[in-house]
Amino acid sequence: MSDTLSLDQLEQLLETMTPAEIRARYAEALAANPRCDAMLGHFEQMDEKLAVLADAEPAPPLPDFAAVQAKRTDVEAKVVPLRRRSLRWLVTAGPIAAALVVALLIARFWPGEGDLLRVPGSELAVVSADQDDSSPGSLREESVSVRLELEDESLARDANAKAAAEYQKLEVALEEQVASRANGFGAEEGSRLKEAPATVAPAPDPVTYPGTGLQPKDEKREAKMDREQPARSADRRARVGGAASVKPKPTDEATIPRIQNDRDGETVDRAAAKAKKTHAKPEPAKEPEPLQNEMDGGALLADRDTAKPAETLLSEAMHDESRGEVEADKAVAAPALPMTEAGEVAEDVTIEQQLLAEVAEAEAESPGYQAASSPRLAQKQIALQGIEEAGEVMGVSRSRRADTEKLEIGPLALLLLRADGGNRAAVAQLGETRARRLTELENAWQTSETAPTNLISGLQVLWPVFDAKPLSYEQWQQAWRASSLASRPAVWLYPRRWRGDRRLLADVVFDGQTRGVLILFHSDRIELRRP
Amino acid sequence: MKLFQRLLVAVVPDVAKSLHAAGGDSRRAEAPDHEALMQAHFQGDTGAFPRLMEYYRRDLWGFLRNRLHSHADAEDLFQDICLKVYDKLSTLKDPKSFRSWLFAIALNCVRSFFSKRRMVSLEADQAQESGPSIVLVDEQRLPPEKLMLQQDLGQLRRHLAALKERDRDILLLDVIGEVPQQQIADLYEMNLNSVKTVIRRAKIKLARLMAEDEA
Repeated sequence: MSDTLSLDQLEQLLETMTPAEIRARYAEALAANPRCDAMLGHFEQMDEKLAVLADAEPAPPLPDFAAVQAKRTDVEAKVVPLRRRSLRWLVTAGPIAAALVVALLIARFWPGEGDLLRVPGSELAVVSADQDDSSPGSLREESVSVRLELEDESLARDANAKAAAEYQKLEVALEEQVASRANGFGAEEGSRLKEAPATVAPAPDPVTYPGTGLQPKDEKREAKMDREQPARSADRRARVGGAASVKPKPTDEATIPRIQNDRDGETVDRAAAKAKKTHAKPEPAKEPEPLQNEMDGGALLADRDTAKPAETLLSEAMHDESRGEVEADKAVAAPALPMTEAGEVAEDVTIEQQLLAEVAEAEAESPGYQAASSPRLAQKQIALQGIEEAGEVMGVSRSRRADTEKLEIGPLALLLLRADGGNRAAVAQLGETRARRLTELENAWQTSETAPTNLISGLQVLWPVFDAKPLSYEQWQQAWRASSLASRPAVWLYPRRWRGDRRLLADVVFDGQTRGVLILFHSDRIELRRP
Repeated sequence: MKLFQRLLVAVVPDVAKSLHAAGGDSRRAEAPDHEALMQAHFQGDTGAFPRLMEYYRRDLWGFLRNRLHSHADAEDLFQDICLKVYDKLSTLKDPKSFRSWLFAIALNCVRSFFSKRRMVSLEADQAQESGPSIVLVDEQRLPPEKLMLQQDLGQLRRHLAALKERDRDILLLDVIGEVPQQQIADLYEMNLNSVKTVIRRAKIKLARLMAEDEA
C-alpha cells in the first residue's frame, strides 16, 4: 500500500475493514494525511454522536387524547341523527324500489307465448324451421308460407274445407257412376255424353303413369270396348276429333288470370291451395305412395274405365301422353272423373287440373320461386356476414388501438432513477410485486458495482440525472464503476397516478428539482420513459 | 435530576452511554407492558394510551426533529402522529411490534409531508441551526467540551440533511428510533444485509463530510 491515503480510498477501506484494522495497517499513511485520520476518528465516534441527537431537544408534550376524543364524540353526536334517518330511509326504500323496477322490466320485456303468435309469419317461421330446407317440398311450403298472410290463412282454411267437400261430392258421383255402369251403360251414358259434349275430362288415371306399363292395357280395354260397343267407339272417335277443339287450351301463365277471372277465382284458388297442400305435404320420395294408394283405388278406377266410353278413354290417353308425370300429380289431386251429371264439375276439374299442372311447372321453373323461398335464409346470411365483418373491424380497431397506445421510445427516453421503496403508501398503491421491483432497482443502484443492466434497456441514458449531455450505455457503465457509492446522486420517487394497469406516472426529485417520469411495469422488468 | 442527566449525556458521551445502560433515562426505562396497556385502552382507560406513548415520546421527537429542519413543522407532525397512532391503535395486531409500527406511521407522515412540499428546503431553518441545540439553565457552567459538542451537533444535522432520504431515515430509525434492523428491512422490503450496508455507508459518508468540513 502506498504511503499516501486519499479519502476515497479510506472510504472503500471502511466498507470492508474495521477502524482498528485500518489504523494498524495504514498508520503511516494516516499520519501523513490528517484529513484521513480525522475522518477515521469521526467514523469511530459516529454512534455516540448520533445517539446525542435523540436528546438534543426536549420532546413536546403529548396531545390531550381525552379532549380530542370528546370533541370527536360531540361532532359525531350532532351529525349522526340526521344521517341515520336518511340512511334508514334509504335502507328500507332502496331494495323495495329496486325490486319494483326489476319486476316492471321483467313484465315488460318477458316474451310470453302470445307474443310469438302475434308476430306476423313467426308461427310459420317456427314451423318451417323444423323442416329440411333443402327439400323441394319444404321450399315450396316455405314460399307459400311467405306469401300467405294471416288474414288469408283463414280463407285458405275455408277453401280447403270447401275443396274437401267437393272432393267428397266427386267421390260420391264416381261411386254412382260405377254403380250405373255396372247396371248398364246404355242410353244413360249416351244421353250424358250428348248433354255434355265437351266434358271430356282426361283421366287422372294412375294406369297412365309412365313406367307402370299400364297404358297398353288401357288401349286393350278400349279396343275391347270398341268391339263390344261400336256405337260407343264411333262417338268416342267423334269426340276425340272434337275433343281436341273442345278440349280446353293448355293453360299458360297468361291465361291463368283470365281463367281465374272467368271462374271468379275462388274455385281455382281453392283448388290451387288444395293442390299445393296435397303436393307439399308428401316428399318427393313419398309421392309414389299416394300413387300406389291411388293405384289401389285406381285399380277400382281401372275397373271403372272398362265401362268408360271409348271417346273418353282416347281423350284421356291423349292428355296423358302430353302430360307425363304431371298427369300423375293431377291424378293425385283429382282422381275421380265425373262423367255424368257432374258435367260442369268435370269440366272444372279438368281445367283445374291443367291449371294446377301449369302452375306447378311455372313455380318449379321461375327463379323468383327460389329467391322467395329463402328470404329468411338470405337475411340470416346477410346478418351473419355483417356480424363477422363487424367482428373483424373490431379486431382490427383493437389492434390498431393497441398499436397506437404503445409509446415510442426516443433516444433520450430513459431516465435512471432510484426508487424509494420504503413508502408504505406507495407500496399499497403499487402492489407488493411492483414495489419490490422498484426496491430491487433501488438496491441495485445503491450497492451494485455494475450498472443494473437487467432493469434498464441498452439505450442512451441521462446520467448523472438531469445532465445536459446524455451518456451512451458504455459511458454510463464506466461512469458508474468509477463513482463512489457515497457520491452517486440521490433521487427520490413520488408516485402520482396510474395510467392504465401498468403505467405509473411519478415525479422524480433530485436536488430540489422535479421532473415527471413514466414507469412501465413489464412482466420481468421495469422500463422508464418520458411521460 | 433529569437536567443533570441531560448535561452528562451532552458532555460525556461515554458516561452518558453508561447511564443509558443503567436505565437512568426515561428513554431507557423499562419497557411497559404493551398488551396490558392496549387492552386497558380498549376497555376505556383514558390513561393507558398516554402511558404507552410516553415511553416513545423522546425517540419519536428525536426522529422527527432530526428529520425535519423546522422545529414548528416537527412539532406539528409530532402531534399529528400521536393522534394518528391513537386512532389506528385497533389495527395493530401484535403489541410487541408497536415500536416498528409507530415509526412506520411516522415515516409515512414525514414522506407525505415532503411530498406536499415537493422540495426539501435547507434554507428555511438555518437561523435555528446556528443556535444552541441544547437548552441549559446556565450557559456559563458549560465546559468547553460541551460547546464543541454543540458545534458538532449542528454540523451533524447539516450533514444528515445531505444524505439520501432513505439512508437518513434508516439511520435515524436504527440510531434514534432503536427499531430492530430486521423490522427496518421489512419496512423497506430489503434484506437485512442491505440494511446494514446502508447504515454503514451512511456513517462513512457522514464521517467524510465532517472531515471535509473541518479542512
